Amino acid sequence: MASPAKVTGGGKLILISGDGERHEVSRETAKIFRALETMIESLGDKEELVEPIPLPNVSGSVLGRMIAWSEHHVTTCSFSAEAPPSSPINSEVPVQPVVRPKVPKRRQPQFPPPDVVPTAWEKDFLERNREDLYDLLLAANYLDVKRLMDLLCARVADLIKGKDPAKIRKTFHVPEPS
Amino acid sequence: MASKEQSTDTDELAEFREQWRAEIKEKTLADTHTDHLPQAEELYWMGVAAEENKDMSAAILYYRQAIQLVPDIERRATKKERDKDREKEEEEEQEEDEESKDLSVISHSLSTLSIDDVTCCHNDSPTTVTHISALPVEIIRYILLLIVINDLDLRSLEQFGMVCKRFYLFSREQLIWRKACVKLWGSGHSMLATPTSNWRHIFITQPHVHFNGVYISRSLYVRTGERSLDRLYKPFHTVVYYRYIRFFTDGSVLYMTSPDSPSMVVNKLNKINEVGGALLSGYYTQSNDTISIVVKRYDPSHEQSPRSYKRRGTPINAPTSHQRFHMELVLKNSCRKLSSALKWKKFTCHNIQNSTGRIQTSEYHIDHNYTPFYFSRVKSYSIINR
Repeated sequence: MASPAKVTGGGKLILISGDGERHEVSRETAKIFRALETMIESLGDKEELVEPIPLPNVSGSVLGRMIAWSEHHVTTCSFSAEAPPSSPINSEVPVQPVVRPKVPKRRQPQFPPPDVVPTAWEKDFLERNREDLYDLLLAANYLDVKRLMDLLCARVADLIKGKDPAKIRKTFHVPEPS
Repeated sequence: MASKEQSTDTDELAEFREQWRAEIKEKTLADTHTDHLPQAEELYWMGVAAEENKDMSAAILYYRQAIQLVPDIERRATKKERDKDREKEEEEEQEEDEESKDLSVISHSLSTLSIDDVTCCHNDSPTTVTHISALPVEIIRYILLLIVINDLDLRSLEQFGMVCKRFYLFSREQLIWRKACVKLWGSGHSMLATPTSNWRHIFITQPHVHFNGVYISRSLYVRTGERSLDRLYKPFHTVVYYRYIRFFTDGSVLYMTSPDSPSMVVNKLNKINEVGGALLSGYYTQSNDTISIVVKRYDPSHEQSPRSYKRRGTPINAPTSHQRFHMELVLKNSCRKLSSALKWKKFTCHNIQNSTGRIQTSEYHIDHNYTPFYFSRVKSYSIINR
């Protein structure tokens, strides 16, 4: 289907967080961040990217978790950043991302939103990161990871649902009106 | 001539004298009235008090004394009272005016705000955790839409709007209320064609069922019991039973008749639970303020496993008939909430022969046993555990 060079996709990328942490990721992992996808695809097949990619809006710890997210989704590949892959997963051949036309702009959130049901791993991931939900949400928005964003938004929505104003204030640390 | 003149003179004189006398009489009468008025009034009101206490003889005594002092005391006293009431009302109206003035000032100042100007209330104490106010506008909109759109839980949205100014502005955005209207009536509905700038008003005022709770109708009847052995005591039992309806935004509905009290039933009215027994499922439609519900009786004992079907597709031991209930209910406003009562209009049962497809229809007579349904909110319905 696609060129073999792309399948190996061996080139590593270096991402630099806002506070200067360096993270090395594979190309496929980085492609889960749709904000970087176009850029990575435009690199060509064999070219090694020496220049690190700065991500000033994302802190090191959050970037680490974002990478954990995308590494999981690359290996299971049950949910790529966009549509699930058309071919069944084969353990021997690395999974081929679907070749698609370049997306010029990042997508706006879709209305009405799909009903998102997290997998067990994703549930666990959200549970581990419940402390800094908003950092993660901002990073997911910045890097354009649609599924993570949907899940996080649904989580915030659940925090609001069925609560009275006082409880919402407490949940979101909004001060009482004077 | 002279005699004629004299007679007119005496006439005039007599006339004048009469007038004078009348004047004096009136004056003295008025004097006595004004003199005794306070006393008479006091007696009159004592009489009123006595009458209210059902002490008629005392009341008559007081009234008689009052009338003796001032004959038209009743008219005078009540007039005075009316004046007082009027004054009070005017005062109250003034207060209300001031209140509504305050309200209009507030609503005006709120209507001039825009989301971009208002910052969210921050917690002043420095924290390492990122605050919700750091989220961009479009993400908050998206989150609110997630809250609202699945089960039209606009109550949560309104509660969110009561948190702070910025959240208020988010909760009143037209887009979200319009989305709710589209979800409620479907995109082709005539209501959505009306040009309006206030979708929230339309959503709230137009009759529609509520989704964040259950409609309950409580009925009771009296049944005679067995006479006890000593033949002295014959008990009567009051039997209470409930009908429950829960609506869903996707047009489905759950219906249940049960002797169990609401607190035991609300958790059963859930789509996760298996339909069967007393729990019937179906769908509903709305036209104007009439809700039509169709539910099917589902009997698990007749349920066939796929293997028991013959090759030709006809099931063995299939139930010979199944039942479908058609209900027509009218949305009414109760004293507390709009569209929170459902009144029975029609109730029919269709018995359908599976082999022939013949339908036998019997209509139930709507009598006092079919008490109206009243809505009550169930908190757990607005919380989803993902």
